[in-house]
Amino acid sequence: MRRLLTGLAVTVLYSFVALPAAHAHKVTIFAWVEGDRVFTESKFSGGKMVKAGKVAVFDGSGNLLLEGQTDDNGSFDFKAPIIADLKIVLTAGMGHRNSWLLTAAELSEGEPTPLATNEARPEPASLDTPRETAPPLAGPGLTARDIEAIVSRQLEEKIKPLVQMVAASQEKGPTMRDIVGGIGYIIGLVGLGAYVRYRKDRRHS
Amino acid sequence: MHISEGVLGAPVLVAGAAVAVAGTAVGLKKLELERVAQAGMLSAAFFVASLIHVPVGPSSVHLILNGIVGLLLGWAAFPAILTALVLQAMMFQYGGITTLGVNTVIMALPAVVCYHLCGPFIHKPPRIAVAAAFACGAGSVFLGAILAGASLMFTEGSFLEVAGLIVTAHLPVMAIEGVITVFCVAFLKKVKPEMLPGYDAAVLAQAKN
Repeated sequence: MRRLLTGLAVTVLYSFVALPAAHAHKVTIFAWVEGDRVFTESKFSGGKMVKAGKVAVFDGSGNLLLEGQTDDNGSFDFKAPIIADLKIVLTAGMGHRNSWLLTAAELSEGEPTPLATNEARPEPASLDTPRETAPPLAGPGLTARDIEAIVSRQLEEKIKPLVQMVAASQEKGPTMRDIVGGIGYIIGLVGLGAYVRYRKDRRHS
Repeated sequence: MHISEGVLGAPVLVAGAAVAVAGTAVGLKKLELERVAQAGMLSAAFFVASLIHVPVGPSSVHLILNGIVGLLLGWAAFPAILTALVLQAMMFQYGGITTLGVNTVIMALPAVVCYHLCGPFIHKPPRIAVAAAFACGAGSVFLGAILAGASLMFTEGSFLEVAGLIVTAHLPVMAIEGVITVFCVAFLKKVKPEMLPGYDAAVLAQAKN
């Protein structure tokens, strides 16, 4: 009996210690575009990745375009099937679900990069070095489209950490303010309830 | 145990909301003035309990405390839990506004059931009382998991599979809440036994003996 109690006490304590570990009552999915691929990241609030969560992609009118599963890191990526508003829905089991809306604008911004670098290049084949190593003084030979492509690719690179930061900030757990605020609401409601009842009592007496 | 928006079909949502409204009406009617503060405190405890997490395998579950809320409030558990769920949905984005009714039923109905099943045994000799308290804490989580499974079965396939999954995930929570309820009951029995259900009856019975 004593040992049982100790065991249970340890379990309870452990659960308290493990408080910030992970939440499981909210999932979030975050999607961004790189080139023509759409990357998604799915997390439980608290930062635990959704493993083997179902991801479904719908178009604007609700037709299913493709389906997939998140890997161990909670990520799933796919080639954008159409340039349109995409609704990406994550179902993580036990009633957990969330969605992310990817607009057509985001997709079409990502789209031209690989096209421009691979096909729309006016340079002769002999100059076919990877773009990254191309000397910057090749300036005059570049078309506006090339520059656009380079800029957008570089921008994508630079923005990546920012995108990930935004993704990380999507599933912040409840803050102290939320908790205290909620308790405050409850105290207020109790006060309101007491007030209404007392008023009724006084009127009757 | 919080079901997100968009998972359930309209019939389940409407049925859940109807039961929740009825339960809340009964609860408010039965809530005497003296116990409004108590209901508020338990509502706050329920509100915060969901922040205490128990990691289980790939997922994690959180404390619910609907057993103790039910034991101390009876039918008033409905308004108390509904209030806490509204705030959880607003502040933490747990669950959702449309699923409020279903979620209230999932957590408050077991609380009321356990209040009626276990409440009468709380003032019995210690051994029975401890067992009843544990059953109340663990049972209300178990029934909640079953109800969650039942409401999900229309969208997520077979009832047994879904309910089994949720029950298994909540086994540690059941154990922990059972123990918490035992300690709460033991403490209240010493300090404020009139807070526990069936106190007057127990006193009468004792006076007769």
